[in-house]
Amino acid sequence: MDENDVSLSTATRSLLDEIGEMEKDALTELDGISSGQELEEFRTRYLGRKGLLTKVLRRLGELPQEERSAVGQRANALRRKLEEEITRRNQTLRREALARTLEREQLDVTLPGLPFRRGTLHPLTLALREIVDIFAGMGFSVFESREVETDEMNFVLLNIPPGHPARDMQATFYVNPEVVLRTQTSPGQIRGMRTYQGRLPVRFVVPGRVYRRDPADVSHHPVFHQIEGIAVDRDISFPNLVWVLEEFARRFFGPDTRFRLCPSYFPFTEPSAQMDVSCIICRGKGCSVCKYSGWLEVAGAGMVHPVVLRNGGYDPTEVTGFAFGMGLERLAMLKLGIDDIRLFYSCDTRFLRQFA
Amino acid sequence: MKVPWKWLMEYCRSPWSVEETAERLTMVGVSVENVVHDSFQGKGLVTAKVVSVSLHPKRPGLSVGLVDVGGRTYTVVSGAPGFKPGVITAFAPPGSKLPRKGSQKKQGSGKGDSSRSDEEALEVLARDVHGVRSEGMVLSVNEILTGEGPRPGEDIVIFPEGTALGLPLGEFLGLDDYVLELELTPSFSHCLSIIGVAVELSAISGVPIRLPQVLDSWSFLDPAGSRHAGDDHCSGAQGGKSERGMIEVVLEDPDLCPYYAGKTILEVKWNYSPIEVERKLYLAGMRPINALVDATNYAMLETGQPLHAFDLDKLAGGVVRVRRSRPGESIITLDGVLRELPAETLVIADAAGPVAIAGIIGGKETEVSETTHNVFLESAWFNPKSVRATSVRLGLRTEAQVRFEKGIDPTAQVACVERAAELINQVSGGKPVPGWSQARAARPPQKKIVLDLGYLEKVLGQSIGKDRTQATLRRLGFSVLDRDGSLEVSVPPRRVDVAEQVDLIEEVARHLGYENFKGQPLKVTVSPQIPREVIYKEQVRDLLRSLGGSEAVTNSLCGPEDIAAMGWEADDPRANPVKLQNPLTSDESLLRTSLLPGLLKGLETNKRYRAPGTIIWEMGTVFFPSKEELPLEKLQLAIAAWGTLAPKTWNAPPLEADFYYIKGLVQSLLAGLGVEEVVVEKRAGMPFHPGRSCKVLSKGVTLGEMGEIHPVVLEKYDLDRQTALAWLDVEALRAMSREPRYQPVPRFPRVERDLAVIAPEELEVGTIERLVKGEARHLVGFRVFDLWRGAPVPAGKKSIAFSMAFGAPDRTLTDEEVTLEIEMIVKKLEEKLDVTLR
Ligand SMILES: [Zn+2]
Repeated sequence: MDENDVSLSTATRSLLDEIGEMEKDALTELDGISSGQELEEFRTRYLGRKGLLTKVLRRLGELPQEERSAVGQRANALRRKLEEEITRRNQTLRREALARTLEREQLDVTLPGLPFRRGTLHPLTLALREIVDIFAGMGFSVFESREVETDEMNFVLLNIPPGHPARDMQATFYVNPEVVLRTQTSPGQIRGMRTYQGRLPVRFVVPGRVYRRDPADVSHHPVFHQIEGIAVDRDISFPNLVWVLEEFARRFFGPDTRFRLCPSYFPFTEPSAQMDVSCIICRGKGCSVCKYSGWLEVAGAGMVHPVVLRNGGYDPTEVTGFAFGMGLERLAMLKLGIDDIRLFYSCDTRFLRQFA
Repeated sequence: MKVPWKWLMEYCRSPWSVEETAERLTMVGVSVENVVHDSFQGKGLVTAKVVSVSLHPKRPGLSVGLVDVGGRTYTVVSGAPGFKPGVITAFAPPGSKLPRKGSQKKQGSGKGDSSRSDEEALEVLARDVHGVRSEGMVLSVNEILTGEGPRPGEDIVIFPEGTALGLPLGEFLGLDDYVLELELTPSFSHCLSIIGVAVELSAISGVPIRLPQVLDSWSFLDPAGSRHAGDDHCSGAQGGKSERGMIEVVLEDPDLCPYYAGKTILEVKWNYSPIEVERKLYLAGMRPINALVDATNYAMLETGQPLHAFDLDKLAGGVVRVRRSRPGESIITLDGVLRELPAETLVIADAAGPVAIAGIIGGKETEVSETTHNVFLESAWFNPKSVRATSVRLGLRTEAQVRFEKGIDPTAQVACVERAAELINQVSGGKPVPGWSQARAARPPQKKIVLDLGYLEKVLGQSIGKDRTQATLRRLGFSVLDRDGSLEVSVPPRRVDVAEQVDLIEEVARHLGYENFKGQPLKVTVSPQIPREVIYKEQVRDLLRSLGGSEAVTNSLCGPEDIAAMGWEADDPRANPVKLQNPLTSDESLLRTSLLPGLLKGLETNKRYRAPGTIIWEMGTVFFPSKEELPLEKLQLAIAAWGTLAPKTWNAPPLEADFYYIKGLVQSLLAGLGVEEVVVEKRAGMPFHPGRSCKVLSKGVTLGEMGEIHPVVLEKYDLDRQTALAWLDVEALRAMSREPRYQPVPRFPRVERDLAVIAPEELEVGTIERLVKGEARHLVGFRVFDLWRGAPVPAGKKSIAFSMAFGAPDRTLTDEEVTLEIEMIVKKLEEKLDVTLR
């Protein structure tokens, strides 16, 4: 049924013609709409209670009875179509508006963000954590011991009686003739062993500050740190010591590190050894750090002297043990490539903030 | 200890190169720190024959001679008495170069390069000597070795007849050599002699030792020790005191000197040592003096037994007494220093008084000189502890003292004095008097150790076997007897370091080679225990890292100025630190009682580097005197901030180190550690600003103090801006820290209300907060969000705006309930604090 159907009445044909025109006008108008407000006005004009389409519908009564429903359907079809078109147009408009908003809200992403400040731990703390982790992995507990010690703990019980030449190796600070600043973490061996009260196995490390009466220079500082380790059991042997030191060197300095043990001397171990690792600066070719030898001394070690075992509360005829000691600063310097020990004590944040 | 390579080779010829030998010695513990190539620096010096000599036409005492270098002759002027026809000597033609003193070319395998350039050698030029052109110089030993002129009384060097002419001196005299620089641990004192090193080399290589004949005849290296004539260990002078040259030896203090042997050589001729002896001494790091002194040094370097030469005729009374010094005694020592002798110093004295400090240095008055005809050689054993104590008291270290202090062979005195006498006799002639002026107060102990093979293998973790163990020990000079299951080992007396079973185990282990011990994992698995306080410290560190500061480590030693700068009262424990008896410097003479002085210096350091501001912290021990034997050690945490910690940026205000910064930091830390019921109390002590500081407490326990620095303290430091500090007692913190516990999460929303009030200026916000918290029934949050002074708020008042949150665990509070609660709060504020609604 359309306006050209001659079987329809003139009035009906005219009304259908009007609806057709209205559709054409509305769609053209809709194309030009560019804001939500215009779109709302459009809806009101065509589809509102007093809108153009309503007006058309009101005129249905003028038409012959049998033609009314067909024209009504035609008008309702237009209403549905316009509602769809309005919705579609509305979506387009919102999309465009959002695009404009996003465009407007752009930031300069190259400007810095808020200045959160990250703190840092001292390189010695970081190195010690790593070392303690490595030894904990081999079953070593941690024992902390005091810094001011009796001469007896620091020397005598470690098999260094008064007048012993080994006392010359360690320039000692005295508080009084019987009290010293510990020159080594080794008195921790005795104090630590005694806490075990004869139980086996004994296995612990002693990290801490030590003191030597040496003026500060690039490789000396009157205050520095050591980490000491000891293991005592019924059948601890020299090859166990070799394994622990090798394991440590590989994990701390890397799997390609070569190492060697040479005889050395400590009054509290016998046999005594010194562990060298291949110079990590020159990879063993020779440089000023390794004094052109290709090797760097990193640890002193040995089998615990029977006197020390006895002083720790153990019977040297029943148990054996090994012990080792290392300089924390030296380990950190080698690993991180630091060339002056004094930097550790400088508080210079240009240094401290490098290590996270 | 410096070991000249060629000298070492005289006793044990190494099958390996110098470098490899050094490496192998190091691997058995004879640590070779450095191998130095010491090549002859002279150039163009040759052997030459004096063909003819005539008197200098103008100068009496000078001669003009013709010198033949084999094919070419030179005219040379010389005043040397040995410049005579037929003599073969050393000659420096024009254009040749003499070495410069101390400029021996050294190429180390270590310690960098100590070589100097050739330019430093002295070029010899033809020159006019009082009208006669002298084409070069004939040379003394001193000129050849040091480039310096002849010493008093020194003649030109004279080579044996038949020496070829024109031979380059360096090669002819074998002056090219290497020196092994040893860095010996105290247990290797037996290597403080070249023979001692040779024994180790022999044990490694299997090449037998060759000893000088005299030493060999005295069984110098016998496991039982060197033998004595007639084995009479306790007699006095042998050969009879009446005999010419014999001296009576009296051991007054046999605890300090039980063995003393003297040897007399009469009618010696004074001169310098031959060039090869001087060269060896130079290489070994000693300065040649004259043939007599050099012989004693030579024998000491060779055997390890220090010796001393006295001018016999200057020893008064024909007696030496080895005794402790008497009050008021003094001596002028060889170095020309007058030394007051501390009580108990062991001395050698003649009838007139001390003539030597035993084992350390001789006296000037009795030293040998060019006027010496008769010499008395001393070879003794002195108590190591006594020598060490004397050396420390006098602050004097010598080659002899180093050896005595470490301990020497107590049986070798006679063998070694015979060796020195032989060397003197070879160079200076004279008549050795048979026998010795000696005294022995004790029989040297023969050390025997039982070595349990089972124990050895247990310690070394390897099956080594009896045969290998025996062979290793024997190569090192021990004698070994097999006593099923164990070995009875006799220790050569020169091995003073070997006293017990474990020492022998070390001997075996090091000569088996540490590199031959393969690592074996620990058998037993142990779960490690990390003490709670250690874990806690790391927790504190992690929290502080998250809060932005840099961890620092500062010196535990401080000085009186650091303490004084803090402004503590005289009776404050922190003003009374533990003092060191022997500090290096006054700045490091005390044990710190606070971490703050160290951190303040750390701030200064950063300011010097033009940092805009710094925040550093440290956790470490502080020390206080105690009634116990040992001082009290406490773990402290301190934080120091100065300046602008984060400068202003385009989008954030600057962060300044002020009171509220440090308070916020400490609060965050305490919250992170689970410290509960934290309260602050106004006014901390020094070094804090009294109006801008507070104490921090939890449940009545003081945890520490924080605040801005007192202006008086600030004056002591180069810190011109705001500085904020805090210190906390870590043990107290730990005691007050609680492990987190679950609290039900609120199920009902809270209600927030703001309130703005006018309060008297002097009223602390904390008072308001306390009152609000006390009165409100459902308060769950309190936050100050504005503080305002000035118009429209009247003078003497301030406006405070705060936000309160209300909530209940079982329901959502109604508006009415909250409003009622707030009205009640407002009423109480007004009644009790004169605080009114704005
Ligand atoms: Zn290197």
